[in-house]
Amino acid sequence: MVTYIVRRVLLMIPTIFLISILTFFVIELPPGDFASRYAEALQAQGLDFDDEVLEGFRELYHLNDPTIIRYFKWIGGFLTGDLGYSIEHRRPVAEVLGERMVLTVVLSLVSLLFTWVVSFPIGVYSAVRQYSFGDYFWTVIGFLGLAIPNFLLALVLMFVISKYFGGAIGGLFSREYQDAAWSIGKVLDLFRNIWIPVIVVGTASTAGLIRVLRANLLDELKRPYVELARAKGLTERKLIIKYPLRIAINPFLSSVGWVLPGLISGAVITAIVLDLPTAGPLYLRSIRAEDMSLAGTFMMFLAMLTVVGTLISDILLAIADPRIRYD
Amino acid sequence: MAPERPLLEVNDLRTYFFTSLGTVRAVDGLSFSVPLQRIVGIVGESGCGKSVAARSILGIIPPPGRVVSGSMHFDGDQGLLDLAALDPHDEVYRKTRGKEISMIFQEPMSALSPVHTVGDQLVEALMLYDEQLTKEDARDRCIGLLRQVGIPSPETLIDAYIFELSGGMRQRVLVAMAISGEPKLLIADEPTTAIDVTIQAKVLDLLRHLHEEKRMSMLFITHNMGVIAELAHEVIVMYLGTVAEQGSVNDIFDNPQHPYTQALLESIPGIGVEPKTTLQAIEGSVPDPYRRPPGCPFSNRCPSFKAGTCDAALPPLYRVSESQTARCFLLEGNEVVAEAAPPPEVSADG
Ligand SMILES: Nc1ncnc2c1ncn2[C@@H]1O[C@H](COP(=O)(O)OP(=O)(O)O)[C@@H](O)[C@H]1O
Ligand SMILES: [Mg+2]
Repeated sequence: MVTYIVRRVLLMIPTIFLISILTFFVIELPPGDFASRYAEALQAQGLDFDDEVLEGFRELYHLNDPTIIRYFKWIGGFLTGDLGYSIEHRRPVAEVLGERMVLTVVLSLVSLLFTWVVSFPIGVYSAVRQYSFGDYFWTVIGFLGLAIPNFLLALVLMFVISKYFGGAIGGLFSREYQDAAWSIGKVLDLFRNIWIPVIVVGTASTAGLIRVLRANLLDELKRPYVELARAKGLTERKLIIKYPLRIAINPFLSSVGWVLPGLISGAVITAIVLDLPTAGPLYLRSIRAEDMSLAGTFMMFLAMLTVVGTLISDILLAIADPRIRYD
Repeated sequence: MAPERPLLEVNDLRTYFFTSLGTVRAVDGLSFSVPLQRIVGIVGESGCGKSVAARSILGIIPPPGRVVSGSMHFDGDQGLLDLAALDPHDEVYRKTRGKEISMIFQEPMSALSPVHTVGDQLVEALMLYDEQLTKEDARDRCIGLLRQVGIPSPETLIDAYIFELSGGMRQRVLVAMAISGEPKLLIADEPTTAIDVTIQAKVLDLLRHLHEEKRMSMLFITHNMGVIAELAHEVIVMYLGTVAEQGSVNDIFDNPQHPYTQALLESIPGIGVEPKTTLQAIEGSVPDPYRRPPGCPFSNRCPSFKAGTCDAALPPLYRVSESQTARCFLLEGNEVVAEAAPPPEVSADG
């Protein structure tokens, strides 16, 4: 097990290295360098620059160094927490990202939890009671959940809530906490408001997981080892939990892998519709504005989260299934 | 000496599958009994309902299948039970399952969970059958069991996973599991079919040895007459869900009456007049379960087929001798042991 994990972690290093080169290449893609783009941005706002200041700027940020050196400076900054400077926001990238990342992580983890808690019992029920009324009922609901686009669900939910329950919606906080400093009250307020985005973000993946769990469990229920467990005299409940469910659970563990990168790239439209202060919309804007330090940071985070997410789910899978770790 | 009550007495058992294509009468009027401490062999071609019969006894017929009629009287720890009358989910039935009636399955490759260790799966059974057993004692007993079925260094193998074992070792683990409750009846459903020929004989030896040691009754299912000759005391020849012929091992091998039994015997290399391969020995194959021939189920393949008789009605069971009966019109004139009962009218939800 330990060797398996070590091997997987070592494999991550070249992967991340390659991704960082690619990301750096993308950052460098837009015409002109950081300084000229910064000047352009300022000029657009009516501020003027002379070439001397620009040159000083280039000195200060080592923009005249060869590409290789700049790459290592950039990646080195990453390791020390210096993520560069956002042209658009005119603040360090780390500062721009800070709170949004925290909220994004909270929203995603709560959504993942919601997805698991809802899909697990329904998936098991639908498989064990295949073709029952309940199975059909959840199948219909599940396909609806898969088919309805998130933004539409968001709009419908917002409409229903504002029409029948009153009050403004959108965002993760009530008005009085919007710009308040963090406090117990603000945290409670967050959890009062978070469930609409959680439902919107989580519905499709919940429906998906229900289908996958149902199909997997149905497959496993037909296996001879289940029949043997039954022939042993175990109660139906015990044997289903211990044997087929143990194997059918794998997609849940894999879902950890795609939830982490989804933190940033997922739910962008939902976040825009619901006006959520999460990372998705910011990422989209940074690319459109060619704010490459910010966009590059997002790309690196995305890549790293994908790699780490895959690692975590692989480790979980290896714990659940000895055939993987004995390979 | 008064005749002892058999351990298991199956009477006119019918197990049907109600599929979307129609009703499969997998077991259709099967009667036999398993006396105490005897090995009864069930032999017949693949698809004739042997496994379904075994699963019926254990009460583990998967939907859309169901035992639709008949009785299965089992004389166990909880008194004389008619298993066919019990709901398979009934606690009494569940406590019989595994502990008093256990089964060795056909596929050692897939009959054990791939993600649990050998010990995990065995200890679970031991603790189920003996509620007083502690985990440590169960583990010790588990090691003892593994040693008993001939597994080398059971102290390490107990923590192995199934995929680390060879086919023969897996089958031994299944045997260990099947005897872990000291069952009164051990059902072995083609225990050697799926494993390497070189190990088959060893597993058969093990089963015979265990039978001699523990004196448990055995229901040994196979499609191989040779294995029957080696192991069984009594033989049931099954065809399309019912008994074609039944008798002691000597009756069946020395004096077979049913043309199907004779054909099966000819299929054993070295015993028939001229050795033939299994496939050539009997013309055709078991009929489509959805379209059975009218009359005797074997009539469409039978070398002694008589039109107007064999395709008109199901033959009754005729007595051949004290210990032997056969279901064939060739024996017309002999004493009728049991008239052929027509299948009951049943529906999927009846
Ligand atoms: N789950 C099932 N659904 C439908 N038909 C089945 C099922 N299981 C077995 N059967 C049918 O029952 C008949 C007997 O099968 P089986 O008992 O497995 O034969 P065998 O003698 O080879 O063990 C076959 O025709 C098979 O198609
Ligand atoms: Mg079979």
